[in-house]
Amino acid sequence: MIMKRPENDKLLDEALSETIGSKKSRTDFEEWKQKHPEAVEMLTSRAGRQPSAEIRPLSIRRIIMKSPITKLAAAVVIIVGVGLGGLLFHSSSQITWADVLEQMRNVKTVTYLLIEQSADPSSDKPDSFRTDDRSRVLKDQAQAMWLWEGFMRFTADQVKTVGTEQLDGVETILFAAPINVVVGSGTSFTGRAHVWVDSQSAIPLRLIIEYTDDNGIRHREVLKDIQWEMTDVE
Amino acid sequence: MNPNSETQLVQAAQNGHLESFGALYERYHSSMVALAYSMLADRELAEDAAQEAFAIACRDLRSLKSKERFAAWLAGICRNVTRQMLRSKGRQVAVSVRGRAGNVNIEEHRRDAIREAVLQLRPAERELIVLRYYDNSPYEQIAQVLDISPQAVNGRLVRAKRKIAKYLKRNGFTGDDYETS
Repeated sequence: MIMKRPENDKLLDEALSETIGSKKSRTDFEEWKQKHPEAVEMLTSRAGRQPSAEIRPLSIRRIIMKSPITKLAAAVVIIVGVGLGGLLFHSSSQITWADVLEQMRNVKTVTYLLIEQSADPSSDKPDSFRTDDRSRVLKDQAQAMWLWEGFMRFTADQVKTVGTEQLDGVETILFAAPINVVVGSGTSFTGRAHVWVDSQSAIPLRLIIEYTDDNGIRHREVLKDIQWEMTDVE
Repeated sequence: MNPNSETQLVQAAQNGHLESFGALYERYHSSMVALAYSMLADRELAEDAAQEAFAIACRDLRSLKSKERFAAWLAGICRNVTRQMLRSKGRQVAVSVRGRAGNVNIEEHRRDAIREAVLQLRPAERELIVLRYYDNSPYEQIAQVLDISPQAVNGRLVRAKRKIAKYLKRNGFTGDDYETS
């Protein structure tokens, strides 16, 4: 290929198409149907039914359960996604969903301090939370991207903007949202999340997840001192 | 692309209409293969990932509330499936083309350099480049898949291509050949 300056952009386009371009991938739905009868059966079994109001477990669950990501990481993904999904519906601040999404696209790593608390109603002190403090570090980009996936995947129409709050000297916007927390067994619990987002940078600074499990044990998980490392942007 | 018709297709598929799901499959199959390919650098594995992503989407379609975001939702599934494949196979994100032995002509060198340049990009940029050039997907479809505006697609493509051009220049391919404005 001969390349001359006046058509540089076009030449690069051609070079990229030539190098990356497919020979045309097979798009054969009939073949796909034959290979995935179970999925087809699940879809077609709904034919003729009215859509129900039943809430199904979040689709991410299967994927999360197969992955080595911990219960907490799963919960965080959901929390972050649901909480910040609310930005779509509450634009009272200067932050828009696009701002948050833009920030999250550049996430490389994230670290945070996790505080896990639980209270057993059958114990002597039913309202007393037992605390387990430890830090969690999600090191690699693939794991960090789970958080980002949360932003992409979840939107919530019940999120409320609670208001602005000072958090360690930073002005934040506090959001509250109902959530589904998926635990290791695959069981899903509903609860509530509060998300503090930096009002200037649109970056989440703190998350608190609260839910009650099947045994009536109340759980509270606090993610604080969250530090997002971003990749270099031109 | 008519967003209303896509929303209707999703709605119909959610109600069990297989042909509607088939139409969505036809529409986004190549994009999903491209998305997976951007992470796997292997066309056959990327095909497998896309197939599995559609299987999961088919099973879980009812959980999708924002019908207008079907493509982005599907893309999220596809990324997860691909990561699963990477983990299970112990593969790195990309296959290096460094160290190619033997006689290679200038054209092969150039392709290797372009692949390397693409691999140097951030994952989001790599997705964008591969989505665009794998199958010449229109900006509007890429925008749907990445859940950003067509304008953002354009801006990011320009930036990513600039990085590629710089990389090529640093590696002996003259700026006259590739430099973008």
